Amino acid sequence: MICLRREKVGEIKLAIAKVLAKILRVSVNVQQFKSLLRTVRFNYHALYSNFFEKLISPNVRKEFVEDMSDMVSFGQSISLIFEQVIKKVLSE
Amino acid sequence: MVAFLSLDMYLNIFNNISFSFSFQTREMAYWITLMTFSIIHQENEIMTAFAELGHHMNFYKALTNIYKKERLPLEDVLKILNCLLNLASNNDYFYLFEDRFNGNILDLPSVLKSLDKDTCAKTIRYMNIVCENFIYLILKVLFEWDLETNVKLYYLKVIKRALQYSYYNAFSCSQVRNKIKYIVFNL
Repeated sequence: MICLRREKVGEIKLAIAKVLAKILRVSVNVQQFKSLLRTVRFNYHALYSNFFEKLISPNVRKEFVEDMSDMVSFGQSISLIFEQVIKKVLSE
Repeated sequence: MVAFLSLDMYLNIFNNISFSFSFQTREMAYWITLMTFSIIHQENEIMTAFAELGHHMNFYKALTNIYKKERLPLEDVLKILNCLLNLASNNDYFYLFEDRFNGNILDLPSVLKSLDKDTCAKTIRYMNIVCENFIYLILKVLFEWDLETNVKLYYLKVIKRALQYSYYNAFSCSQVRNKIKYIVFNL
């Protein structure tokens, strides 16, 4: 989801969403679902800095934060995650 | 020679040679990957030890340092990514897809087209992911290195196909370990 928010190319966003959906349809537990929803928070990097720092290498954290703060990309990611991922997974 | 080394010696190689950052050249990135590939494929327990001791991240850090220092060309990055995908799939990717293109796998636009249309590309669905930690490394390389859109798209499509038709692959990729955390989840 962090990568989904960072990417700006629509085609790649869609590909990431599809990969996420394929993984989640097989096995999703409460913790995984909660962590997925946590990444939906706009300022995820500030609210959950310990998780963010563990996931992203120090040398690229700054770029990730900048790209994740882009409102257009954020809006697209939210619509993708709810339409392409969560809706599909729940319907299966 | 590699076949006669013990597990301890393999791990010493990782600790002392391949991850020492003193000799970082462009060629080293590819050769470190190849060496890891050849060593890990000797025995299953080495693959397990590699994962359990957290060598994946050391391996990734070594590659990233070389990438940043040398600005690896696309060809080398693709070779590394293919090698990682072969490690993740225990060579299935090579036999099912890479081998059929006879070295043209580096011509991404044509491979991307054939991935959508070509019948032989459909065999990727039979790729078996045996070590999901390398999928994690591939995702890290794709999104943390400054790579072209085509590269990201190609590997995401390959991974998607592998997950689409195999519940086993999807399940193994959904597992989150304590030591190695996936980029998609954070527990």
